Amino acid sequence: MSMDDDEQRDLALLLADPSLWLEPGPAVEADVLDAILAERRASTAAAAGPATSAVVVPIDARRRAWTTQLVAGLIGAAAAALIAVVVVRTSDDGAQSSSAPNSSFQLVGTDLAPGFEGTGEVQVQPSGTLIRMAVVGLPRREDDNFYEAWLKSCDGTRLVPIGTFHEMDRATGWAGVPVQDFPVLTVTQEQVAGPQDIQQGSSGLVVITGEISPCPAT
Amino acid sequence: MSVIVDAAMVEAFRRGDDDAVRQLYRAYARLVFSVAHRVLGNRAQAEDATQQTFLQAWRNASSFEAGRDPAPWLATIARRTAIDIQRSEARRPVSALDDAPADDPGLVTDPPSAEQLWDTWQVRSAIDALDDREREVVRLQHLEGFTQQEIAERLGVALGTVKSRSFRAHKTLADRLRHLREPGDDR
Repeated sequence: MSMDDDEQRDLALLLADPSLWLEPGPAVEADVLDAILAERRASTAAAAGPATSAVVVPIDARRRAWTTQLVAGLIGAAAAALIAVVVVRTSDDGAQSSSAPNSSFQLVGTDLAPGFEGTGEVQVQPSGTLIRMAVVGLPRREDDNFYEAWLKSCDGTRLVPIGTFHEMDRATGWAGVPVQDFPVLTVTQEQVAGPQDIQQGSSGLVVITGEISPCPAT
Repeated sequence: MSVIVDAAMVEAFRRGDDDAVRQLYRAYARLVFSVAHRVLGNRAQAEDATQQTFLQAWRNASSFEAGRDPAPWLATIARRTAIDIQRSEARRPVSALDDAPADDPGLVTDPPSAEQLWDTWQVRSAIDALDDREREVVRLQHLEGFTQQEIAERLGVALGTVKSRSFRAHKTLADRLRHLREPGDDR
């Protein structure tokens, strides 16, 4: 069916509107992501505040309080976390874990970071496995302090680092091992150790845990 | 372009999952931007409205019903957001009417109707669905005002090629947008 003159005229009028041809600049997409992240961070920080206090405090102050609580409970919590590392599910053989390429999984805070939660994503690529982690609101760690993410075998006997970070709001790690053999992801608080621990092993201070794929039931 | 917004997608978007936000943004940002620009007539403000529309959509994601087409929902948010920005800009003091530029938002009184903006959304959607080469011919013809001969020279193709692309594109657009043209409607 061909267009009549009126139809052509109407169409030409519609199509002359510049609004139909312009596009938002490339930075707007990142602005949207950042704006959502900022709101998530603010709401998560509010939710993760001290449960016993109903007083609203600035985020920085809340983070200081969180750090103070952390230090106060560090010895006991560290012991608990270390025990947890040892007691993490044992299995005959991690090879039975299901492969989890291009999957997502939940991340949760331990007693060292109660109330925090987030998501992780796994994407198998030729050079290795890309692992994205998003746990919004954890206090930023700088200078000699940092977070370190690890992949762990189900029996807890093998640990592989996948990256170190200032914050976990949007962190990306890489693994050169098969995630099905190391399906447990942990994030620890670390400090640059220096000569006394030249190998910079895990502190055992696990703040976030997650399972890329479930470990076999013991 | 549209995306299937199932329950998992809504949940991922509600969580603020980067991939879900990107997927929705890339499917609908140009449409949202067109609506905002139609109201505001200003690129920077339209970009601001686009950002706020997606932020507002994220805040209200729990009210969105999975499985439905998100287009009307996003178009409504975009319209409201753009009109809010327009009103906010209009409240800014202007020293003298004569000093105000012709496109000053303070001089704009009546925003386009919801129906007009939905038309804008649908026309933009039809344009975006065109083949890239056909879309460029239509853009040069209607937005830039080039003749078909000028378009052929500009694109470095034969005049016959421009004519055939133009014909196909206009027929596709006319077919897709015929429902907007009602008898006696002189929009």
